[in-house]
Amino acid sequence: MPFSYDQTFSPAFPHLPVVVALPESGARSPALSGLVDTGADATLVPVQQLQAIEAEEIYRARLRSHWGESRTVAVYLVDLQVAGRDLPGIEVIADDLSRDVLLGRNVLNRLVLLLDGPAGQADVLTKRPRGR
Amino acid sequence: MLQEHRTVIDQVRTLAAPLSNAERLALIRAIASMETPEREAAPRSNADRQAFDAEQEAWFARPLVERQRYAGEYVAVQDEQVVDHDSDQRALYLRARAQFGRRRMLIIKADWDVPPVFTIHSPQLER
Repeated sequence: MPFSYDQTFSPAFPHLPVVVALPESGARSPALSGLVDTGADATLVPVQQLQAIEAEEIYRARLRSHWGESRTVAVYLVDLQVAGRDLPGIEVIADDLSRDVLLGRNVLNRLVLLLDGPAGQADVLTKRPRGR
Repeated sequence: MLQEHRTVIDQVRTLAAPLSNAERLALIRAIASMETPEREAAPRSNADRQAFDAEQEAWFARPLVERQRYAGEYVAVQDEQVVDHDSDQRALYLRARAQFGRRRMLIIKADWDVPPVFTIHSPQLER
């Protein structure tokens, strides 16, 4: 099922529905907007959503931008559901600035993605298109 | 703490009042890019936070030969003791939670010599 790009960004941003769940209890977030960002090493989740499911930090890391600025961040282990696909045991970073999930390559590299820019639609495929 | 935040916000609002929209946006971006080393999901006491930091620092301060004992695995560390280890991080996490409850516990890849650095390579264009 394709999902329309988020037109509130310019250029429009591919995004997919994401649910964040606590592995031990199954406590779940509501469906969140997950921005598809192949330029991100890691996946970021709004800190409020991690608080709501009572997730616990497992270690600290550094997160830096393209230009080199960096900050200390807390890393959590959660289960994700991306466009209906279950991805158990994913490390995510708490984000205290955004309401969107940022789907980085630690998640995207597990999926067969179709980004149809001209149609403004993103999809997660169940298998590679034939001949690819 | 909430009152302190309100005071700061009021001060910023006063300082930002004469600025243009572009200047306000630049101010917001400058504030957003400031170093915030100690934000986390659950409110914690300073002592608890420092204890967790110390736990992680103590892990990385261990001799390499000790950490290499768990090469290829994740370790669960509590009070500077490795209480469990597994190559499956989620399985280790679930066992640690079942055994020790919601107490915050260091669960980290044993192969790392320092905390990992993740990069966001995607700069945003300001308009």
